[in-house]
Amino acid sequence: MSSELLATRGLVKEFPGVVALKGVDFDLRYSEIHALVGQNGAGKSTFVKVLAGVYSPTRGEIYFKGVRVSIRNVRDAKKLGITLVHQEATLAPNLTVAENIVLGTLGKNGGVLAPLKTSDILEIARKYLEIVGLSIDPRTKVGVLGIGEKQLVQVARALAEDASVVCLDEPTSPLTAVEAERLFEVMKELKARGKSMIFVTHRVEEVFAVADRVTVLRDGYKVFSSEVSKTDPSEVVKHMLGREIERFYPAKKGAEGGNAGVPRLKVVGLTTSQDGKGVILRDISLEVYPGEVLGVVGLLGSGKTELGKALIGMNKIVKGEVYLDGVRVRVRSPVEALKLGIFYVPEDRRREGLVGIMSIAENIILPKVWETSELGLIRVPRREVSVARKWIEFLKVVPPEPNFKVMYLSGGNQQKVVIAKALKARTKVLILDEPTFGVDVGAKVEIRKLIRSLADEGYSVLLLTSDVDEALALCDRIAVLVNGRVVGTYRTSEISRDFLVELLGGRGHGS
Amino acid sequence: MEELKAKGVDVELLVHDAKDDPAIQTSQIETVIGLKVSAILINPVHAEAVQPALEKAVKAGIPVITTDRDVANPALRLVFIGTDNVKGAEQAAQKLIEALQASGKPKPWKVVILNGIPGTTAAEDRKKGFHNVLDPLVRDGSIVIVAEEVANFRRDQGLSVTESILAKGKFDALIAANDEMALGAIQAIEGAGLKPGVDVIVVGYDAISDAVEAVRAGKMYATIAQSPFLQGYWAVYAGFYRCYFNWKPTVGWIPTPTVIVTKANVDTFAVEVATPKPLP
Amino acid sequence: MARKLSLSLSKLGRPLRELLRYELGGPLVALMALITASSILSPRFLEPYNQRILLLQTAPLALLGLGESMVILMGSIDLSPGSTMALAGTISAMTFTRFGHPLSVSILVGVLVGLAIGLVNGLLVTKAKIPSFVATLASLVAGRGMVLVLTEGQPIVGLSQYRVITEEVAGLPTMVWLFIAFGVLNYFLLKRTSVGLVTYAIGGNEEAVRYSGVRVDAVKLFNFILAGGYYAVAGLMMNARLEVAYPWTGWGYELDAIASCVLGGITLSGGVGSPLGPVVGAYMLTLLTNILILLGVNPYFQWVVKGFILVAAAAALTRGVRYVK
Repeated sequence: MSSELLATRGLVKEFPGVVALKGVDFDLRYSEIHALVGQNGAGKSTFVKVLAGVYSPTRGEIYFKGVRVSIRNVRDAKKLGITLVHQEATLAPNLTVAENIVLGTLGKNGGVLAPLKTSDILEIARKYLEIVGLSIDPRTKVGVLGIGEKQLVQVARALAEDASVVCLDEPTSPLTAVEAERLFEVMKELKARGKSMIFVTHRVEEVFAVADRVTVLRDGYKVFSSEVSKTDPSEVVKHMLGREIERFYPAKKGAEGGNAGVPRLKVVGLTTSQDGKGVILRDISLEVYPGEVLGVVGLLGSGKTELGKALIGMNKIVKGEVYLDGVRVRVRSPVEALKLGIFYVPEDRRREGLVGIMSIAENIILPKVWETSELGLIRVPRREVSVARKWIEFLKVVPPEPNFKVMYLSGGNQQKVVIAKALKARTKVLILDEPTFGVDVGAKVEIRKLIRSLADEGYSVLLLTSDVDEALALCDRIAVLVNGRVVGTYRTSEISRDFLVELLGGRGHGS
Repeated sequence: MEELKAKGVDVELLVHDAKDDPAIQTSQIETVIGLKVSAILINPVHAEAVQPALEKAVKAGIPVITTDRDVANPALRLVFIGTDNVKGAEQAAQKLIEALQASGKPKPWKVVILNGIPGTTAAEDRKKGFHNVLDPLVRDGSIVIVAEEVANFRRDQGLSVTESILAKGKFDALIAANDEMALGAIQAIEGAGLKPGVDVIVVGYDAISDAVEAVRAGKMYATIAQSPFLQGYWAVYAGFYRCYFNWKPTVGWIPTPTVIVTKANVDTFAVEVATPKPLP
Repeated sequence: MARKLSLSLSKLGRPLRELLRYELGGPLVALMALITASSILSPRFLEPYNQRILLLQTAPLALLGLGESMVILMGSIDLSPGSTMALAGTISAMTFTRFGHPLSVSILVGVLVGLAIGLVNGLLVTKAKIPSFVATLASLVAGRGMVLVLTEGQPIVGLSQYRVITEEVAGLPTMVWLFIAFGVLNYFLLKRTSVGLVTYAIGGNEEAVRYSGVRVDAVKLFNFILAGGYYAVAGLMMNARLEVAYPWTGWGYELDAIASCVLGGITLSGGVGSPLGPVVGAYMLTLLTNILILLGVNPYFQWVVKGFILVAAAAALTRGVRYVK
């Protein structure tokens, strides 16, 4: 046992309605980066949260330096030296970097009431910022930092707390490739200083870039564990999926032959208001035909989300016209958009797409809720469930339980529920904003297939994405969006990946 | 005022209504200081909030006389003219005992007390007055206080609190620190199928018009009328004496009399409290 | 013996756990505990008279709680219940006494006043985009001000005809039937209609509902208006109870209304709780005041006890919903 810093035996965590961990055995050695991978919903996030005391385990044992310990809360975990760097940065945005770094150490030297000297705080902060390689002024407010910087500040804080085990919960998912690279350097540096890390990710290539060992969780079970040097990416992916990967992209049928007739959605010279937050769109013109997937490809901050929201009346259009089936329309609110058959599936599903505390069925019937009601008012539960069940089956939502709460679904299944809402409301124009973002590999394939098949059925799909490969594989035509302007629209068959990446500013990134 | 004029005194009265707002009252005080009036007679809307304004008046050499309500710092005013709530409450309690004796109900009599908002002068003084009379009788065993509750001077709370007290059992008499609570209690007593005035003797305080009606109808046995008329009348005289004879009161507080209102004087008490009496 | 006891306890435990699964389970368990404790502590507690006055006292508060719950379930807050009930009661009484209209018209006018205040609250929140706390705080202050202006601080007397609301029908006072009826109505509205579904959804995630193309503002407006109507009915009940329109009716009751919701298991962040929760909560609050008087607890100490019990109840109830939110 002594070679292991931290070990779990038969760790079980139950939530109402789901068992997230089903008896996990796990070891972490001294000075080791141990990657924990799995699809969304595999239980990896839950696992590190149990170790960090965010959740208390339902059953099972945890050993620290060979001694059995019980971690009932975050304080217990911190006493042992286990810290979690959260997926969502948990820093106080209104405080400075330095204040955030020392926040966790306050209890240690002389208690919370010990007087704080600004110069001391700054000194401590500078020391740890240097270790994580951040050259920012510690007096900067955290709110103005980018996500990558915030993550490194969290790591610095963990170091300031003298953590021996740092759990990183999907730290790279919001990072750019360069930022991620930098994080890996920091992780290697920490390893050299004798720290151990549990690195949660769903990107297999990252495992091979930085980790010593890898453990795969699937469906709450540990299914595979190995030295990184003794395995290869395809083996890890095979264990993650539990089946052979299907063809990653579906075959295109679509309206390749040319778009005759009236476009379903036509946008001419659309310009959005200055006063709104986010990117201002200027003079955007687009056409989407029935049965077509039009990709709007743009990087973060190009204005694609703003475009989606403008088309359903959530962003104010100050100039330009929108035509639906050749008829000029004005869309001032999502209510009017829905009436016309335009539905926006937001990028941020949890905040804008779903009511987490409600069931799958209730979420699906929410748009045009009166349709399942008697006299448009009185709910008929049986009708609701049967409507929901139809879409659940069509989209293969797992679990196929209409009464299951949406918040417990994995990212991919949540996405399916949002799409189900749109389909249930008989949408004609489906605007999908990063539909495969934060969704595990298996679900990505399914959702891409679904998008294609919807187009083949005659839906008009506007796919807003930053994923060049996804766009090339799925779309009939691609409009490239840079800084709120369309710089060109192309038939997918006519352009190469390199050309597209160059248009985007040479900064395209893969799936 | 007319009296003084009739006697040949050159006097003029300026009246301001502060609408129970300390801010309004403060600016009114400041205005009249500017007019260089000879005296200020004031019913302070708040014991502390208007003190800064009154300090300016004192600095300007204008005597201040408070009526009905007093300010926290006695140095700011020449004299306070207002009701002695302890004495009034004692009268009310004595009247309650008289009524109990007259009713021939068997001893020990069961009595309920309803108090006002804790911490206010009126509530604390009246509570003290009730106990001054009732406590000796509790000791000699002729009465039992079955409940003493707070109903915050409010009619709706008087109702619900009395309802709950009645759930503990019937009682003989109830005395409340104001009429609103007493009227709420009467509502509760009727709701329990009892007759107020017969089964339960109720005594209130303040003689508000609803309560006077209840006294006339025999539902309330007695209530206590204060003398707002005398407060004003005496205040004018105090100001007059001060200005003309440089009068210095020997006491800080001149209590105004209270009148017990019962069925016997329900039609005449109004005149009684409005009859001029010389300043003691 | 000990074994037998623990066996019967575990037998009791299972239905209890089963009950706690329901939205209203926690509040009901708390209520049963309070009733059991009260009837052990005071033999008077269960007497018919006491149960009757408990229902009478609960009725207005329950209506305030029901109205408040419509708003809290959406994740908003309403501070206007106390003032709304007073203004509705006052204007209804004036219609009856000063303008000599029949009772039915006066009652209708009172309800309309409540609906109107709700409309104002709703418009301030949805159209003027003022946070509900601020908008309804304005109604709280202005509403009370209007009551005092209209009544000059004096009660409006001569409302003995309002007694129809307190008179007994089929063994219970009309107002008790009323609050039962409104409780059922509220349950139906929130659990069995699409408006109710949207109400819960708004409390769960307003943004998502907006993106779903649902008329969020219309539902909000509707709920504020309906809440105003509930408060008005409470005001009319108080007119009947006191047989006067008392200008200080409902002073501070907004807090009791909110407490009724919280005790009834409705979370202040919205989206969670049973439509009947406020009724149970209002009954608990009333019961607490009642039992403390029955026991003759020192009035000042009563507040301390109430404070402790409220905190304990709120803590126990939030424990249950922590997972959900």
